[in-house]
Amino acid sequence: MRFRAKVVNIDCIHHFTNVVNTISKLLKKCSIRLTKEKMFFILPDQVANGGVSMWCELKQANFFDEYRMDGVNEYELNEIYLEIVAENLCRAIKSANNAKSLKIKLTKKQVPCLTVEIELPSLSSTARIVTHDIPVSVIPSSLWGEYQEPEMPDFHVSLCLPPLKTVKHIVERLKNLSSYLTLSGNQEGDFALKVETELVSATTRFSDLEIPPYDPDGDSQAPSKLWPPSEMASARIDVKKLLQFLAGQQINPYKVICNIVDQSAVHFFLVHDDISLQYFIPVVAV
Amino acid sequence: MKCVLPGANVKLFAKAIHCLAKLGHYVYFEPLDTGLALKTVNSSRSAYVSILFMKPMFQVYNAGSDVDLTVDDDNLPISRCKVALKTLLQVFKSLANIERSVETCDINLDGDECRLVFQLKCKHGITKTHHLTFQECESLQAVFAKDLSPNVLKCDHKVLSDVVINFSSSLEEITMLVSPCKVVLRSYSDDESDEIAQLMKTEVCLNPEEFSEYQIGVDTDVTFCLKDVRAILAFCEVAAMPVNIHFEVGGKPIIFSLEHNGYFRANFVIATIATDKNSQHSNATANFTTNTTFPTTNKRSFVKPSRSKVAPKPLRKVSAQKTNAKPQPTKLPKPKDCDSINSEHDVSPEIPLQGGEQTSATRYEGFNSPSPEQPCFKSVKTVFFAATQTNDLDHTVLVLAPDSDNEDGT
Repeated sequence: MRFRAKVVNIDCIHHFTNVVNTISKLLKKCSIRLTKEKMFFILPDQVANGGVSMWCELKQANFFDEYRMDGVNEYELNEIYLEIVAENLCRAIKSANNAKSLKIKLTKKQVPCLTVEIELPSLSSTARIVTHDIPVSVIPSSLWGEYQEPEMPDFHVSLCLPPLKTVKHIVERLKNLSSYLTLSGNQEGDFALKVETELVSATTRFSDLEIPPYDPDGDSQAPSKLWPPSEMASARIDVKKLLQFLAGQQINPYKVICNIVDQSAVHFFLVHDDISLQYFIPVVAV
Repeated sequence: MKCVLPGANVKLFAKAIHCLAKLGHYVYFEPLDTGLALKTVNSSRSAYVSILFMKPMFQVYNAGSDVDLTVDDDNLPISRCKVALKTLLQVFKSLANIERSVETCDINLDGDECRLVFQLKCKHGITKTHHLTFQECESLQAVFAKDLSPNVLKCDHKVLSDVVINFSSSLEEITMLVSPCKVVLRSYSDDESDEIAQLMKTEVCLNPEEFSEYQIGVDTDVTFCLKDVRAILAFCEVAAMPVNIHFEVGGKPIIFSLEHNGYFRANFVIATIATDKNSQHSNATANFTTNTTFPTTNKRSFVKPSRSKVAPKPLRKVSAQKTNAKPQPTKLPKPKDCDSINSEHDVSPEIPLQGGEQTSATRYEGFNSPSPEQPCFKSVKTVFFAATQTNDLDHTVLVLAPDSDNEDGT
């Protein structure tokens, strides 16, 4: 198993930093899956995580100038799965704020490590080198099945969220009223965030939101035809989890698609040039 | 003591207080002929700071009538005092505010009222007066042989700040390895257990060209507290002077100093972890003492250029010091160096620098620590405080930290 990647372009470094920062805000422990073409950050759907799960994939060619991955074996198992503490990776990459180059490789020190080597500009002729060794655990191939791309649920409503900043501000205020928030929307572009307690009920409504186009040949899935277009599908979720998702955003996606499965789950899909990030939040039992 | 600091220097003074507050609990004010010295030592005696604001920095400077202390049993002049840093920090809390509005700062030791008075005269006719209680104290002086250090590095504080920022903020200790061709700073973990292996390790490699002065007499590695260094670098940012680093080997203190000739001098003495291989020859080059001479039977008496009076005040702390059980290593540096009893250098370097680990009770039996926290860093502490005393109890010596040897002279 071998992995070695290098980024030289400072913009790519910043871009990668943003992805890592976003992910580290969402989860503590993260699984990294490396294939020949892509790099994935995965949080599988496990009880321990409270039901949330995350799937983020990026095309390595858009980030790395050099990328070399040799998986467990050359044939079916030509991939590497690692488990890492996201914050460590985030901290390591932070050193690369104005780096000349960033190298990531899989090494074995006392334990298997992901070594991040950063070349920083310095006053002298030779650059300053910062090396971070982040301990990782290698996930055996027998467990790879747990880390598959989550199936798109049969959602009832799909719409594009208003600017995340706006939504974040609203959710931050609503968070003070209750720990649970109801997200609802319909196929006509109406969207609402509602908090209800014994004393007060506060709702923020958006309308005329964009409906993501359904492309029958493409990847997207049509919302369930059985759902009446004007009917609001709603899901009651934990405010903290939603806020974690909204607050950590550094990627600046084109769109954020929100899919709602009535009374079941909320699925966010961030669309960006070279990255796609999916985040599932299950409903909270009433 | 009465002095007046002009506005421009109050910020530096305030920043000095902030820095001292991060390290110790009390600041010792010592008005000297040359200027006002602020000193502190941390509770585990592994860090000592002395910041000297010299006369030209003050608008008015009057050290007080009794600079040359003739100390009497009953008549200790109140010229030196120590103030709790938590309290003093309240006076100089907001640096931004101080920079913006303070015009002068008067410091007055009021003997009648027994208060140390700080009066900040600010813009718009506002005057803030703070009366602080103080405790009388002895001179806090670490004797260290900065000029005899074989390894000297000098660089801009920014270089160090930039390096240090790459390390996790929770990291306690850092190791610096030097050789003529490079300097490597590495995160240090004192415990090789499985859990610790799970922590992220960081290493930064610097080229000697980054230093304005790079003198390596001894290839070595020293491990010291990163938290203390962070506090020092925060101070350097305001002082805006290059930093000098003097050190020798593990076990001997590392000294960070800033100096602006004639105006200002700051010495930060940080203990380093003694490594096994150094234990044979380690001798503390730093010793904390009071203003006493040690009429010891020990061959080397340390020479202190400043006042040297015995203070036969009732001891609050342990006075008896023991001779070194071990034979003195022959390989000692110049006589100017202080000897110390370092029989504890058989300790392994695994001892954490700071933290809750209490040292074994045997070492501190009977010792009445002035501070609530027991010094907990065995080998490092003794670098500083193992004194050169004998069994001779007639020479009552006031030391600020105990000898960690057994009380019964073994």
